[in-house]
Order: sequence, then structure tokens, then C-alpha cells
Amino acid sequence: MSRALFSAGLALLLLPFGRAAGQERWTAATRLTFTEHRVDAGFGTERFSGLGLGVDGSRRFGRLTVGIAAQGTHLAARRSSELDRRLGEVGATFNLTVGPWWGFYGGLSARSVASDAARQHWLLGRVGIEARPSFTGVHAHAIGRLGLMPIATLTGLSSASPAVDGAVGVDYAVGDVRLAVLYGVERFTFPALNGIRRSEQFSALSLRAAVVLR
Amino acid sequence: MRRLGILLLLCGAGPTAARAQDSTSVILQQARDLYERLELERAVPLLRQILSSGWTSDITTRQRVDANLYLGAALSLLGSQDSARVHFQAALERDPFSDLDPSRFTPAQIQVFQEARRTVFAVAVRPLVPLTLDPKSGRMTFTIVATQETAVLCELRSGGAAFTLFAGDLQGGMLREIDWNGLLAGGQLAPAGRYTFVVVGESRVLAGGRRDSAVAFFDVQQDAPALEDTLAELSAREMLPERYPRSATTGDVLKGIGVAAGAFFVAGVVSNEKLGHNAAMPAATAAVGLSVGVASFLSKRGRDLPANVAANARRRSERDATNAQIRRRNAERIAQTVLRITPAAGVGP
Repeated sequence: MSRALFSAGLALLLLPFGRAAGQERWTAATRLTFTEHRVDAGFGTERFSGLGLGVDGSRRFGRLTVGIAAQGTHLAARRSSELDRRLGEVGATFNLTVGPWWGFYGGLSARSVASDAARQHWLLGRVGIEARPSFTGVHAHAIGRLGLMPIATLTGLSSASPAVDGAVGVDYAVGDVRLAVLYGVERFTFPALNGIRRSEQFSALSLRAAVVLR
Repeated sequence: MRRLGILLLLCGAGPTAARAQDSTSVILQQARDLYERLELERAVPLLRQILSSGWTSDITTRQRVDANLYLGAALSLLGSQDSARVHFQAALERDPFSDLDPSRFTPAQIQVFQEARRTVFAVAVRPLVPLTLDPKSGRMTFTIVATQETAVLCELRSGGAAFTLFAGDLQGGMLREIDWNGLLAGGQLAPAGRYTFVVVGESRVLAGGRRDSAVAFFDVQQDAPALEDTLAELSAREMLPERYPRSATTGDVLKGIGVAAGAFFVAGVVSNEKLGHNAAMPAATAAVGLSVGVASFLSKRGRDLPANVAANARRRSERDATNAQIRRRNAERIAQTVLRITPAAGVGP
């Protein structure tokens, strides 16, 4: 299972990229993501980072857009004493447009973080509010997103609390092609275990290119 | 005795104008009958009585003219040509259309009448009758006459404007019909209003060029199907802005700043303080946001909105097309317009 998820990445960080107010039906996209993973498990901050690739597809149903996403990333350890990690993720997403420039987003995803020595399984469920004010001319939108992850479980640990995510970026439409830059952060803090309070953080900068299929 | 009876009848009649006029009609008819039976000695007194200043019954112009004509004719037959001429002149002065029917009067009488006509100068227009005039096919006819050979000018006047219908010569006693198709000089359909037909004549016979005129008033009403109103000019409220408003482009800069601020907010607040954060990613995102905001500001400020310009042009075009259709339909309806012509008060020579 973890092998299968190996090539997946931080999909949920880049959740509902689909344009909420567009006229398109289907959208297919690919993304290039620079991901950084920081962990403090009581031994100081460990840092891993690397480039990953992802794909997603979505479909609009009126105000609701639903989609699926998958991503894989190779995370290289900053210190030679640490093992590189492989991050894979698959998930389902939704966007609900409420107003002309805002709405809700959410999703459920499964994430796997593995090294040659161990493997973690994550289950993440999130919901939040998203703002998409358009720049003049409507071709470009600013994106701002802030949400909670009421479901954030990690193998062997209690649920993270509180787990939050936030993202900000810009997207731009050229005909049926949509380009986006999005920076996002997920923060997890787990209850103390044996006096050690574990913190993890995923941050990602994504470049996404999507094509509207009419 | 019979005349006395009629007079008694007249004296016994009521004072009302209708009955008095009836009396005139009765006496005049009786005089005609006497004339027809050549009982001239009895007809003449009756006719003189009608024309006398002592005649108290109402008498119309037509009756007075007829009385003068029959009296003139009777006197002519009785050999009193000068007196006959005087009465013919009186008839012509009151009604230039007066004439003697050659089938009912003798050549001698007609000759005297013609002599009278040569001494009287008058022009006249026949009273108008109500008429519905279709300008495409119908004509309104003005009948004019002059007692002598006359140079005439016929005009149609309304609201200070005059339109010449006829200018030329008339033969004495000959009727002339002048047609009018309901259009004015420029081909424009006569608008509703009060019109005056004026005929001005100048004698070519009498020394000094004596002049006379006659007028006939009439009202014109246009009878046409109701017309549609054209669409009003598009107001500014109905038009889309054709240029980006300054506030919008300024707002783009603010949105760019907002993206930058949001990036640093996410990096600084959402991130775990203990774990720290990657500084390059929010900086790159902020740079992109600011770039988009500034680029939007520079590229849109004061620029046209092509979509709105096109939409406005389309709206104007649609409005113009609609108005053109309305005008065409209105023109078709106007072409169906007929003129209701009604004689108006003031008619007379």
C-alpha cells in the first residue's frame, strides 16, 4: 500500500484548484511541487525537501466541484545522518462556491511517508474557507485559503490537535489553460507521548497547469 | 286674391325663423310657377316683394339670388332690359356662380345676363363638402369661378405658410376645378389643422385691374393607425463601462499586496513557530502576487474594456435596428393615412 502511495505527494495542500465560477465541466491538471517536510519528534527539527509531480482531475456540478488528486514526491534529508523519504498521497476534493468570490473547500486523503526503515500512514480530512477575488479583467484570481483538519491521524499516534492548513496564491486563465502558483502549509501537533510532543509540518510551493475539457 | 291669401298666410304665420323662411320659399316657388306659366305680371310683384326692404321674413342668399335671377329674367321678357340687367348684376354680385340655363331661358335673356356679367367683377369658390381623402388615389376639388376673364392665384394657407395650387387665367363664367391630393409643396402629407383656400383674382377686363378674393376654410385631420414609439437613447445606466475604472486597477495592486501579505501570514502564523518555515516559498509567492497586481494595474489602467465596448456597440446596433424596423412599420402606417376634411366656419366669397 505504501509502495503504491510512494509516487503520490501533497495533494491536499493543493486541494481545490478548480475554478469555482468557470463554465468548464471537466478539468485535468498536472503540477510540479516543491515540498518541504519538517518534523520534530524530540530529537530536534528534521528537514526533508524535494520536487514532486502530481495530477488531478475535477468536474463541476453547478456550484459544486469535485475532484481526485494524486502526487508523489521524493524528499531528501538535509542531514546525511537521516534517511530520505518518499511521500505519496491520493485524495478526493470538493469546492463549493457560495459567493462570486468565496466558498468552501474540503477533502479526504490518504498519505504515506516512507523511508527505507519505516513507514507512516496518514489519514487527513479537511474543511475550510476559500476566497478567490478576481483581478480586473477576470483572467487572474488571487487565492486565499484557511482551514482545519478535524481528521488528522498518523500511524501509532493520537490525532493531531490542532491541525490547520492555509494556502495563498494566484491563478491565471489563458483560454482553456489555467496556470496557478500556490503556496501552502499544513501544521500538525500531536499529543505528548512519553513526554515528547511531536510536531510535523508540510509546506509546498506548486506550479499547476490545467486544461479545461469541454 | 291668391297673393293676398299667401300674404295673409304669412301674416298669420308664427314668428319663428323657420316658418318665416318657409314663407319665403313658398312665395319664391309661387313666383317661379307664375314665371313658368309666363304670368309675368303676377310673378314680378311677388319677386319684387321678396327683394324689397319691407320683406320681414328670413331670406337666404340663395333665395335672394334666385329671386334676382327670376326677376331679371321676367323683366327681360317684359322688355325692361336695363332693369333686368340690374337684377342680374345683383345676383352675380351675391353669387358669381349664378348662371342662366340655356335650355330654360331665351337667348335674349342670356345676352342680357352676359352683359350684366361683364359689368360685375367677382371671384368665388364653391362651398366645400366633407370628404375623406386618400392621398394615394383621391383628390379634393376646389371649384372656382370669376365673372370675367381674370388672372387668379389660388393658395392653400395654414399656420402662416402658403402653398400655391393654381395660378392662371379664368374665362368669365366658366367654372374651374382645382385638384389637391392632400400633399404640401415638399410632398409632405398635410398635417392636421385649419386650412384656408384663398382665390385672388384680378380682372383683365375692367380698367384699373380690379381685384377680388374668396376664401374657403376647412379642417384637416389625419386618420392613421397608431404609431409605435421608437426606443429611447440608451442611458449611461444601461451601458456597460467601456474602460476599466481606476478604482478597479488600484484594487488589483491591493489584491497583489494581499497575496503577498497572505503568503507571509501563512508562513508566519500558520506555520509552527518551533519548526520554522522555508522563507523562499512565501517570498516567491509574494513576488508572484505583487507582479500580477502591478501588471494588472499597468495593463488595465485607463484601457478600454473590449468586451464591454463590443457589448455596448451590440446594444446600440440592436437598438438602431429595432428603431429602423419601427420607423419602417410607422412609415407603412403613415402611408395608409387618409385625411378627414371638414368644411369650417367662415366659408364665403
